[in-house]
Amino acid sequence: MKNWFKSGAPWIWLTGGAVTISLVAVVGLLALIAVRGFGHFWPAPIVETSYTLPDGSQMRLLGEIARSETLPATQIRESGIDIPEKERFVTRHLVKQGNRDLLGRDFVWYLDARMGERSTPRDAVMIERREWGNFYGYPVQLREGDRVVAEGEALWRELDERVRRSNDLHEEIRRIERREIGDINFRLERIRLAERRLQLTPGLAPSELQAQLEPFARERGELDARYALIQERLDRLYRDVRRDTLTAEIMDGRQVEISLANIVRVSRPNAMGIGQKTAWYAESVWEFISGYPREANTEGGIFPAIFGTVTMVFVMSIIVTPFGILAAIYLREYAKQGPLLRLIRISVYNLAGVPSIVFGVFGLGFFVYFVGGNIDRLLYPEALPAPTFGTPGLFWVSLTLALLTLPVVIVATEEGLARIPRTIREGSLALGATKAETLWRVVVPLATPAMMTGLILAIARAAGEVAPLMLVGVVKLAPTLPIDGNFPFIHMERKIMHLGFHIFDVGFQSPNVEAARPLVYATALTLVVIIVALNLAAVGLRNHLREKYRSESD
Amino acid sequence: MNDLIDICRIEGEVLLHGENIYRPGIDVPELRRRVGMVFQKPNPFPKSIYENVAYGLRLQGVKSRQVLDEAVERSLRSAALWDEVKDRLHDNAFGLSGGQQQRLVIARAIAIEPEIILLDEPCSALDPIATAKIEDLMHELKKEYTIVIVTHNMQQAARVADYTAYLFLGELIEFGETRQIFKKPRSKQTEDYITGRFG
Repeated sequence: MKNWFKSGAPWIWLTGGAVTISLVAVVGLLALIAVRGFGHFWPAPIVETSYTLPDGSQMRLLGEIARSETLPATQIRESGIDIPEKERFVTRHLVKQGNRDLLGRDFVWYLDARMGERSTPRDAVMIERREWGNFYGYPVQLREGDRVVAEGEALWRELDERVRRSNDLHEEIRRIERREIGDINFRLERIRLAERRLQLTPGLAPSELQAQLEPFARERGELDARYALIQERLDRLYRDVRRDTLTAEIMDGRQVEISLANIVRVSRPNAMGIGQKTAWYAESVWEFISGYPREANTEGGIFPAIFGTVTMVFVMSIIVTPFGILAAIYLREYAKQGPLLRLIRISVYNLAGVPSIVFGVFGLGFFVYFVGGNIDRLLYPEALPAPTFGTPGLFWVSLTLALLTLPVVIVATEEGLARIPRTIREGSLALGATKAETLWRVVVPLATPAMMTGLILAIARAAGEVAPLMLVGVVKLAPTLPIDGNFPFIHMERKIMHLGFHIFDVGFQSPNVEAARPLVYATALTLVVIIVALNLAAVGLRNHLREKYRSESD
Repeated sequence: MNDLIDICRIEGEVLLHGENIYRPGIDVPELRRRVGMVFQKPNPFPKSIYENVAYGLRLQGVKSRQVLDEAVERSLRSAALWDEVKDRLHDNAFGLSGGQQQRLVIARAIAIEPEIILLDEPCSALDPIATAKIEDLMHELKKEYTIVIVTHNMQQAARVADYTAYLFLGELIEFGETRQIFKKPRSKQTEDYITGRFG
């Protein structure tokens, strides 16, 4: 035993064990969110079964089995459900029966013992709707106005085609609303602000004011006319999109009508082959990544959140990198090393340990209300009392995060500068270079890999931060993206969506927890993937720089 | 270089063309440009061979590609390195061997045409073959430049120097023609050192 200890083998086991546990934890975490998140998009079979109610009557059940669990019978009995004495364990299934508008609840627990034989009927249909979540049922007939277009097996092809048509129309409507009307609104707002600015100009005679206001009034008239035209087109499109209706039977036997305008996608999962399922899966994942959220974020995609996160990280990087590097250069190269500098350095390092919510509070109080408020008073008086920069927004989010990650960049850069061999500096000085020339031509380029390391750490920290963002500009649902085609293209004052906050919002603030659960995992996975991608990009850049400035010290 | 070390005490003066270089207010970068320096360990910049040699000229604001090209070639030829590196001028200087790096550093120093070159034990980190090359180079360079070399290797001093000074603990013990110092040292201390009784 003593010899075993002497041989060092226990240390190998101990250290190896630590690595193994870390690896298992990381891989397990990623695997869990990957399976839970992206498993959700695989089309689940629709199960039909009969269910005996406590009063002995039978009902038909139709839906996906979302989850199953086995519980001690006592626990179920305590919740008021009658279970025979001899049973000790009870299995129950969470059935996603959809049809929230018709049945009240879309996720319901049913006891396994009371279920009859299960089957997966081929013509059961799952419809993804724009409102009220999924629909489960059996299609009966397809109508255009009052005319029946198709019934039975012929209905499917017709339905597919007409859903595609209504989706195209819907896409067009969205484009008009977002682009064209958004554009007009943007211009109208600019005119309003320009008018207001004129009215606020001191010492402008009334007649002069009238003369200057005139072109604005004309332009406004033109825009209003254009708006009326677009509105007319929209009305036509809306009428068009509501043309077709699908009649379908739901599990309690009722026949209901669904307007095709309300349908996103239709599938018959029980009749799908593996190829069709894969295609459906790919389409669902793409929709999730590229789509806009619906139904209080519990349905649809997360594109605005992805976009917001990436934009925020980029703006933050642009702010924090120069600041951090310049500060580090001063601290390491110019400042006199002494107790005061040590104190400053310790303060900077400790800044990294301050809870991030504190930065959020500071950002709100100082950046948003004080700095932003003053910017509004000085530069945007015409928009008051509506704030422009005096309200949380992209710029303040990025600035707060930059402050949060500044210590990381400073520390990394300082270490990089300290590692540069003295002989190289001496070599430069010996050739008649001044200190500044030596610094900028030799030392700083050599330290760029270290600066990139700092930036990588900053990105990793910033992209995953949520708490301070809620205070300074991240919201549940942002109406517009921070970058669009209207001048000045990047709108720093706009509020953004963020993946981290999206997880929090969908997971904890959602009205429909069961529907949101898989989205939480999927969003988490997306966030991890994005952070990894951003980091890989930065690491690639660093390796490139390292290769370029290869030296003995590395 | 002394001003980079904190606990340094200087007495007396060093004259360059009659001007004391310790005079207050002297333009230090300009002085350094006039006095080239090669260190004990080769210290090329982590740039290409070409950029290493061109560094000093670029500092002086030379931008013309042609002037730089000519200067780089001339310096590398003077440093007897041209034939070895002419095909890979734009490779990283760290790809060179120790002896080549030291000659590159010498080329870098003479690219800006200094008046004096200081060599601080330039061969102490090199093998005998590389040392021989550097010594040959010194014989070539001393035709055009004043070279001051510090060495702990007495044979080397005897081989390369015209004049030799013996310093001990910061004090100048003896100075004279190399032949005289090695054959007939005036000071007992010098004799002890060169005959190997000491050191």
